Amino acid sequence: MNKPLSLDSETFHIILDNALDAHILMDREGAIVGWSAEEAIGRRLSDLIIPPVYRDAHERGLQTYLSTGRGPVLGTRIEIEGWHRAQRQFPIELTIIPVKKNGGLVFSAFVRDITERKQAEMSLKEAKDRAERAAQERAGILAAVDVFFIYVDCNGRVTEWTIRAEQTFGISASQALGKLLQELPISWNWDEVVGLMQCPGGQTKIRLHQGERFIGVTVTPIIQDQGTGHIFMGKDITDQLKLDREIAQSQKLESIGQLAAGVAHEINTPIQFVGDNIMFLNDSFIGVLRALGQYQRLLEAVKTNTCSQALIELCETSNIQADLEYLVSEIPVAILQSGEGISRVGAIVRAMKEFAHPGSQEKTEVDLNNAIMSTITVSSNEWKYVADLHTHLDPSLPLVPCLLGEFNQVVLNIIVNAAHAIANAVKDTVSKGTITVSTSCVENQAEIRIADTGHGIPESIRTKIFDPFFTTKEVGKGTGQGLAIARSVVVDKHGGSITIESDVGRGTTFVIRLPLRVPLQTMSNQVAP
Amino acid sequence: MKRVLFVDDESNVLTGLQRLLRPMRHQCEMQFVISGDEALTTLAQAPFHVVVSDMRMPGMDGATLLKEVQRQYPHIVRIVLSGHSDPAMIQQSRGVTHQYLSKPCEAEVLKTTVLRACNLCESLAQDSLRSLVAGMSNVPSLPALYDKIVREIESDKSSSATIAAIISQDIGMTAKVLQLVNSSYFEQRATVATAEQAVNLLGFDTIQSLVRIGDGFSSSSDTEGAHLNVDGVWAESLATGTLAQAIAQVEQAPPTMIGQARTAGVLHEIGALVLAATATERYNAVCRIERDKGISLCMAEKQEFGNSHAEVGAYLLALWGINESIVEAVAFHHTPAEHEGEAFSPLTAVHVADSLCKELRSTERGGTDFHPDIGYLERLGLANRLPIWRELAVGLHNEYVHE
Repeated sequence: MNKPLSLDSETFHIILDNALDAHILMDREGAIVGWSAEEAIGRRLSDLIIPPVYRDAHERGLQTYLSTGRGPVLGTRIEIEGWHRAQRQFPIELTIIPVKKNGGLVFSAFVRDITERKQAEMSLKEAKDRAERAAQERAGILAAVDVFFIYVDCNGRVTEWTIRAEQTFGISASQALGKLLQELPISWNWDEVVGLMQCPGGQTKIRLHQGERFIGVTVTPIIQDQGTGHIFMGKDITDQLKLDREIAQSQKLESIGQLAAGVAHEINTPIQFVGDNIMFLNDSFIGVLRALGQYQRLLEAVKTNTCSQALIELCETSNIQADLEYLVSEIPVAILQSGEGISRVGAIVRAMKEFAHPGSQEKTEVDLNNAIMSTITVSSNEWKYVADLHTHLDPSLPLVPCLLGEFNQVVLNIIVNAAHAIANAVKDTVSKGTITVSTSCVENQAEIRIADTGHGIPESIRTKIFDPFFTTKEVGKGTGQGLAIARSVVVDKHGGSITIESDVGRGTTFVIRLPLRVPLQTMSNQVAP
Repeated sequence: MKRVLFVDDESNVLTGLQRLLRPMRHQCEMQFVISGDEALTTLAQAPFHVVVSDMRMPGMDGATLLKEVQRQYPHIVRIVLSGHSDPAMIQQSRGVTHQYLSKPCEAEVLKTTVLRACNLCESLAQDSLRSLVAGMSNVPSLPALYDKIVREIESDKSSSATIAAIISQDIGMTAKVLQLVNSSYFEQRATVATAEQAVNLLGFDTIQSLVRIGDGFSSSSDTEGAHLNVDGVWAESLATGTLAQAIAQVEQAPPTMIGQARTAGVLHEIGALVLAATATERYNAVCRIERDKGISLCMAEKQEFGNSHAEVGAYLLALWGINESIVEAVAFHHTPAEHEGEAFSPLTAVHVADSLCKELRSTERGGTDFHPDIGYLERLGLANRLPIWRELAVGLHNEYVHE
């Protein structure tokens, strides 16, 4: 092997078939050919391109092949570590083909340096691992937040369906992905959902499962080249709504509790005189019956023509005993006043029921005049000792979309404030003030004016009165929440306005305006706290 | 005829009352006015004996009106009839009112209360004495007990039970809690006979405010300078209460009567405290007369005031609306034969207990002045029970002495 081998056609074909980057021809003694001729030719292949740790194995494999003809690596393309002349390992792709030649055996090895490919593969794998990790993290995060995400592409197909979405809708990701959103068996109002996609923005409350659960959903459009996709983001807000309702109810209970003593008085008073009148009627009836007995006897006597002077006198005495003259004049009045008393109790109980109405979560069309009259009735014990109350309610006021319970609360707060303002002003005098409540329709808005004749609100605090916890009352008399709540209800929840006109020394007027139509924005904001 | 003035801002209530009470027109003269101002004008025109007023009224409210009545006409019995059934309102009015009735008030309760108030006026001979008693809003407590209850209220370990234990030891506090609980706000008032029950019904907070605000209870600084042996009165009252209770128990009286017997026993000398606190100088004279002239305290009191402490105490308790059995027991505890009862009652228990306690003490001093009224007991057919009761008295007395 001390002269270069020439390539015959057989060898050439094999070379072509297996063409890699380097070609080495090795005789059975293991010398190599074809690499860097000056350095390599004649040297042992194992010394040149096999890393020192593999050299023994290489020799053993070679000897095994030579003695048994078995060589599992021969004729296939394998990836192994090569040895670079710079004394380092590097990855190579190697194909070794034994070629019988002139009765002898040479090994033709094709070698390719695959360092770059390996590196590319490595970084690809790393990138893939990173992506997997990121995906896992993302899935973890999405599972941890209680918000679901659904992505619907421009064709309406679901391409993202998180664990929370699986839990919220009871549909697995595998069932959902790739489907048209509208094909999925979700028990919500589809018109509403389609409407949201067409007119997105704001959080919307949507009923699920026949209203058993509620989800708050925000839809965000994603504009892409092919069209517009949508991200649905939201969560189950059933418990939150329940809590909100409980808090609102407990605030209302608090004010009802404050009213209760007054209402009890309002009821106890008529019950007192109705009871007295009934006792009077009972006593009267006994007397009248007794007198009637005498008259019966008198009648019998007249019929039988045996009427005596004594009998007539007995009748006259029984008239006096029964107090008949008094009864004749008093009984009708007692009955009339008792009727009045019963109606009063009825009115108070009805008003209390209306006032304490649990209130729908959504706006209903409300007769504000009626609501105001109920509130005036339940609160009468709060104002009647210090003020006369006049109403000028516009009978043509249309129904107004309104959260009734909260509106009642606002009117109550302002009337009670008015009563307190007047109580301060008339303190130590015998005169009474006046509260005037009026309603009217102004510029497509319902206007409610509640005016008192108190001392008015000084200029310096006029901007503060709607602040939470701001109060001018002595400690323990007010929480300072009344007007803050009023503002929040009127402005935030109804899109209306609440303003004051105050004349120091002469009184204050609160002006509430509520829109006659529900503005779109507040409708979709109803859920937002 | 006694005159009663009704005040209410609701004319329907006035006409209702007018009709309801018309059958009483032969027993008392009634007038009905619609405001505090009108009430004061009416009072200025003619003498009245009882005022029944609403609390919340426009202009002058009930509390202000009654305060004015108390100032100008202290002898007038002041009753509130209010639809405000909350304890806070009762508290607000308790300084100026003798009794508190809640609307709606049962017709019978209203009639009885008004008639009782009218009849009360006859039980004390002098107008001045009536004014004296009607003018007081509390009966002074024993200083030691007063301090004890103040400490107990401030302590974080106090409870209704510990408070009740202290109150039931004190004459003034017992009377006060019974007065409060007697307002018709408390449904079970008819069966409340003891301080313990009253404290339970009033609740811890009310008692706390009675002590803190200080118009409910007071220490007996008012009796400073009085010659009356205040500590002696307390010891005697408690001993009488305990014995009266034991006697009622051994007679197998119903539980309410046992409670009434005890309470009446504790309260039977309350009149002496009232006189010593409100007319200290005059009462000191009474004490001197008793000592110097060797006549009984009752006689000396009658000479000075026209009535004995028994009648004065009963007057105050009746004014405060306290149960009639207790009032009678206090009123007649020296003179049971004057009472028309024919059966064992709290009066029997208190009279016997009071006499036996005094008998024991006087025997120790070698005297024999005090004995139960045998004639009265014979009328009731109970004279044969006396030895058993005396045994009880001796037993309790020995227990007490050994303590």
